[in-house]
Amino acid sequence: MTLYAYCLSDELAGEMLEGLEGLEGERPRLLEFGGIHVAVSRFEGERVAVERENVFAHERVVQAILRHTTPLPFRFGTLVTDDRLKEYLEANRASLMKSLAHVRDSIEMSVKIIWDAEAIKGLGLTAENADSRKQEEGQPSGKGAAYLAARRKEMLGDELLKERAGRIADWLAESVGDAALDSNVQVQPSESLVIRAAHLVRRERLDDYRQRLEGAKIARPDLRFLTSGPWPPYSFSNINP
Amino acid sequence: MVRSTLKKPSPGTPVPVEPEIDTAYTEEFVQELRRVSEALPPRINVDAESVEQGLAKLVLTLIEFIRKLLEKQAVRRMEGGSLSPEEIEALGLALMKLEEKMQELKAQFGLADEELNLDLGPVGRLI
Repeated sequence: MTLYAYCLSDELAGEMLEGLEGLEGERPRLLEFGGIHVAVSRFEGERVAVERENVFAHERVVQAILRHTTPLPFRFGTLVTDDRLKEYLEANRASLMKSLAHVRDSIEMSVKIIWDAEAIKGLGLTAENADSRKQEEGQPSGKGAAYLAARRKEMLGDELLKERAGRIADWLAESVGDAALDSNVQVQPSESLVIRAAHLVRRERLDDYRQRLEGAKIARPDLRFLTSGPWPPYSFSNINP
Repeated sequence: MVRSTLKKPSPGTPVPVEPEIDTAYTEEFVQELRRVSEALPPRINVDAESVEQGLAKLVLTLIEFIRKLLEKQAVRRMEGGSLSPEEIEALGLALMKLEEKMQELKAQFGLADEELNLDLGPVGRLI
């Protein structure tokens, strides 16, 4: 029988799933192997369509459990058989227990930052122009040399973006400080969406974390923020049966 | 934004709140997130044409990665003064032709610049 897997924890209880409707209108239930409970529901088919209704059903179940305890969520669309699930849990019990201990009593908060990459690149290139002109005076003026000179200018712009983006990531880490227990930060200097950060925050530190983030946002009016959460700890849960 | 109070599961575990999304720039983020999600293929179809396209994308991504490394190396050598003017010209022309060839190949397989990249998960993107 194929099962749709929502999340797992060593603290799940049947009453956490009361009244919930999962994918395809199925009622989620718990399976237990060696002290680890997995929230699953029956599923007919070989793959899960990425549709609004299905995504919401997955999130509804995991989020309902998050109200009681912090599980390790499976990625949307995870299908398993009973045997495969048992095999996976047996083989990975120690690492799963370690991951559960890491996220226990915590939730994930997300911070996304948009910046004006072109403006920053432009500023750097303006400062670089004088130096470039000096350098170009002594260079050959053929097509090949011009091509390399253009590449050099582009690379300097990219390096500037990388350095500035790294500084923003460091600044964000300092701003949230120890209110974030762990973080998973993706920095994309060439993109408008320059920072995608996930912070693991203890539930009792959530207000502190939010206050720190609010202060940080005020301090950087040049950046555009999107903050969200609490979410299940997707960025700190790498489970793939 | 909605906050709700739910039953307390066990002593010592504070009641969590419902997820909230906070931004003054909704349009910009929706646009950016849509662009990012559209760049990801929803599913890989294993038919002859898409396999060929997928393979071309992978090979061209790796060539593009190496080409950019070569360019960086050439620029470093040019900055370091270890190349004569003739060598700079020859190297520049060779790299320029390589770029032109890449443009041709990308057009042939209908691939845009931003598609030639690999998402390496937490490590970031290849290029």
